Amino acid sequence: MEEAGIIGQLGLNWKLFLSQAVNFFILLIILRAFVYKPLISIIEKRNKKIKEGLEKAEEADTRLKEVDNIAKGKIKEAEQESIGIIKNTEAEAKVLAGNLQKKAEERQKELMAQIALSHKKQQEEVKSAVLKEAAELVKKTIIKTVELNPDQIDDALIKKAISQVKNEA
Amino acid sequence: MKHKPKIYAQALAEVILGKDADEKKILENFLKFLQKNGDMGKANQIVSLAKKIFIKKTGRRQLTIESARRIKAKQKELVDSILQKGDVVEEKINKDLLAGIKIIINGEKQFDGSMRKKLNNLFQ
Repeated sequence: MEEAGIIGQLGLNWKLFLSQAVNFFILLIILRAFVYKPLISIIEKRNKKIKEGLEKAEEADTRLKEVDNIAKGKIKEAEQESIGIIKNTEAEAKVLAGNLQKKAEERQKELMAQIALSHKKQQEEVKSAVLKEAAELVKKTIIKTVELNPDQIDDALIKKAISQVKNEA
Repeated sequence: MKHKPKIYAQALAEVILGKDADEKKILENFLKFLQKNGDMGKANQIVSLAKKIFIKKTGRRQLTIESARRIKAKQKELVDSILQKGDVVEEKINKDLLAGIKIIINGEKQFDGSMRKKLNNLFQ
């Protein structure tokens, strides 16, 4: 009685309180059935989608990293290959340049030798021509000398020829 | 041609080789004979061949002496000094020799003492 007295002192009406409680529970049940459960379901679905999305994003990130690593590897490989090709090309170019230089030097030597030979030949030709001309001149001079005094020269030559014939006999 | 030049040459040489033969008369008759036979065209060849046969048979020497000009008396004396009895001597003028002489014995041995030869030797 003491407790009813307190509630009564607080101004509570049991009947009203009970009917409001029943209403509340009925509302609670209805809300739970039609609002809370679908809402929870929607939230769970959304959460699931978000989780899947995050997983996929993570997976994509991982793949992206893998692809990135592969790409880096490929780039490195390509770089090394390029360096190798450049080095090979440089080496080949050096060999080629060396060969070309050697060939050019050989050609130059050949040309020099040809020029020297040609020069020598020309000199010999000139020398030969001069000698020939000089010989002709000397011949002409001797012939003229003979014509000036043929008897004396005849005497000497015939004497010599006869002496030769006698010696041979 | 009635006969070959060699036959004519042999006949001529035989006649000249005969005892007391008058070479000049024999030659004259021989030329008449050639004319009669119509073989005068080969006369030079026949006489040359006959000369060779004659020289061969008699063992004589044939000397061809070439000189640039006619040999003077003094020079002739020198040339005669190498001649033997019976030598057949033929003299030729060959201006190409310029000076001196060229002696050919039996068409084989040659002594070229000409100025041309000396010049050739000098400028060979």
